[in-house]
Amino acid sequence: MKTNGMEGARGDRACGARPRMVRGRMDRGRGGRACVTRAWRARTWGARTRGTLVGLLAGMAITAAPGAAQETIEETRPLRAGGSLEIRTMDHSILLIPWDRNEVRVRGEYDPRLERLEIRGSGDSGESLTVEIHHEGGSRGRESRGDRTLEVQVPAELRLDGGSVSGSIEGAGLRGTVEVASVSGSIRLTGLDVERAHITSVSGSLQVEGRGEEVRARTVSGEVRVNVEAPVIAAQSVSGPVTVEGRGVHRRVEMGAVSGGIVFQGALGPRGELKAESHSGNVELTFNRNVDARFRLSTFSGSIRADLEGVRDRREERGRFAPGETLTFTTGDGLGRVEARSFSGRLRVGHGG
Amino acid sequence: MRHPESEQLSAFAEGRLQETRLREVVERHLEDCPDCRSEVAWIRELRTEALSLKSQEAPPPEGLWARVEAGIHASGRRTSQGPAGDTAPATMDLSQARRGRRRGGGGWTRYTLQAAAVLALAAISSFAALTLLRTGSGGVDDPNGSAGAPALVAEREAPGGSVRFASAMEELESAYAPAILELERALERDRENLAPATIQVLEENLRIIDEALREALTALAADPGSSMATGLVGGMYETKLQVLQQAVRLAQGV
Repeated sequence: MKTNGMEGARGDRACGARPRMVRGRMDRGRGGRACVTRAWRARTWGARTRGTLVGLLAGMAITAAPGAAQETIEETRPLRAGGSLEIRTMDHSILLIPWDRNEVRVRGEYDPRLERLEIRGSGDSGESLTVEIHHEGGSRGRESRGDRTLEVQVPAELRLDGGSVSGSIEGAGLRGTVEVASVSGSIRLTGLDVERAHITSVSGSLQVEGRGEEVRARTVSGEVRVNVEAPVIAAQSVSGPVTVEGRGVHRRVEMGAVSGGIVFQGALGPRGELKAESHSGNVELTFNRNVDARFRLSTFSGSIRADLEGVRDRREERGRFAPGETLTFTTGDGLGRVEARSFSGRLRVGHGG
Repeated sequence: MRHPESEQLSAFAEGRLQETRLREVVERHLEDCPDCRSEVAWIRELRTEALSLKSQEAPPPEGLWARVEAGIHASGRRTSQGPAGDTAPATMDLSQARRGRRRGGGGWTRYTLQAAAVLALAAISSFAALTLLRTGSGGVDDPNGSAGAPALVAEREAPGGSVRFASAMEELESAYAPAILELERALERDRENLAPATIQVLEENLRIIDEALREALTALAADPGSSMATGLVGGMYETKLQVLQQAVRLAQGV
C-alpha cells in the first residue's frame, strides 16, 4: 500500500494546455483560471487522454481561489482486478481512468475545513475500496469550491458503484460492471466493455459508448445517447431526447420518453424485440439491415409512415369514435417484434445505414 | 390511557423530541404501552428500511405484478365498500397509516406498506415496468397483435380504463409515500449539515422529478394504456426515493 499524502500536483502550471469550453466549443488555447471550469467534460477522448488529464488535474491544483484552503489528495490503495470500487462525492466530478495496476490512485483536491475525505478498503486483499468526500457537519453557510475533479485511476476491470450529487462522471475503457448515478451532473462513459452498465441521472445528460451485455440509461430531464454493441438496451428520459445508435444486433431494445423524441438506428437479431414509445415526441426507427419482425405502430393524433421493403399482411385500422391509427405488418419471417407508439407524435420506420 | 400524538411518537423515534419534559412523558408512556412501543419500533425500522431499499437488489419475480395488482384491486374494493373506520383510503400519509395500524383495523398494515413499497419498487423498475399494466390490446408480446380496434383508441374507449389506472397510480403513490415521507422528514432535520449549494441542487432536482412525475401522469391520463408512461411514473418514484436516500445519507454522514 502506498500513500503519498500531500505530494501532488500543486505548483504545476500546465493548465494552459488544457481545452476549455468557449460558447459551447472547445478552445485549446491558454486556460488561466478558467481551466478549473468543467471544460474536460466536453472534450473528445483519445489516446492522449491520460497525459492530458494528468495535466488537467495538475493545473486545477494551482488555480485555487486566493485564500482557499484546498488540500491536495494523492492516495493509492490496493484493489484487485474485478474488485469492488465505490465512489461518492458531493460536488466533485469523477474522472475514471483505467490502468494496468491492481491499485486505485485518487488525486484531486478537497477543503478539509468543509469536507471530509474517507478512503476505506478491505486491506491488502484489494477486494473492495470505498472513496467518499462528505461535507463536514456544520458547514451551513459555507461554500466549498465547485468545479473540482477527482481523478481516479482504477484497474481496468472492476465492479464500479459511483455517484455524485452535482459533479459529472466520466470514464473511458472500463470493464466489468458499472453502476453510476448523478443527481445533476452529466455522465459520459466511452470505450466500455462491460457485462452490465446502469447509468442514471436526474437533470444530467447521459452518453454511453462501447459494448456490453446489458446497458441501461435513464435520466429525468436530460438527454440520453447510447451508442453500444449490446444485446439488451434500455434508454429512458421523461423530457429529454433519447437516441440509441446500436452496433451489432440487439435482442431487446426498450426506449421511452414522455415529451422527448426517440431515435433508433441499428439492427434487430432473430426473434429480437424493440419497443419505442414517446407520448408527444416523434419516434424514428431506422434499421441497418433487413428486419424479420411483426410490426405494430400506433398513434392517437400523430402520423405513421413506414418505408420498409418486403412488407406483407399490412393492416391499417382507425378509431371509430375518436382519432387514432394502428398499422400492423410483417417483414421476413415475422419472428421478431417491433412496437412503436406515440400519442401525438410522428412515427417513422425505415431502412438506412 | 392517553396515547401521545403520532407526530410526537415519530419525533421521539427519530430523536427529534427536544423538550426534555415531553420526552420523559413519552418514555414513561412507552414503558406501559406495548402498542406505542411497537409503533416507535416500527417507525425506526421503516426509516432504516427506507434508507436501505435498493430496487436492483430484488429483480421482480414472475407474476409479481399480478399479485400487486390483485392487492391494489382488493384494496380499492375495500375502499369503496367499507365504512371509513374499516378501510384505508386509496392515498394516505404515514400518520394515517399509523393510526390505522394502531386501531388494528383493516387499513394498511406495516407489512402491507413495506411489502407494497418493495414490490412496487421491484415491479416498476427496469424492463418489468414497460410490460406492466398491459391491457392485452396487442403489445409486443401479444402474438395476435392487431386483433380488435387500434390499441390507443381501444384503451381510451375501454370502460373504466382511466379509473383503473388512476386507482393504480394512487396506490402506487401510497406504496411509496411512507418511505418518501420518512426520508423527507430525516432530510429536513439534518439539512443544516449540507452546504447551501448542495441543498439547492437537491431541492432543484427533487422539483424536476416532481414535474416529470406530473408530466408522466398527465401522459398516462391521456393514454391509460401507455406502459411507457406507467414505467416512467414508477421510475420517477424510484428516482425520488434514491435521491432522498442519497441526500439523507450525505446529511447524516453515513
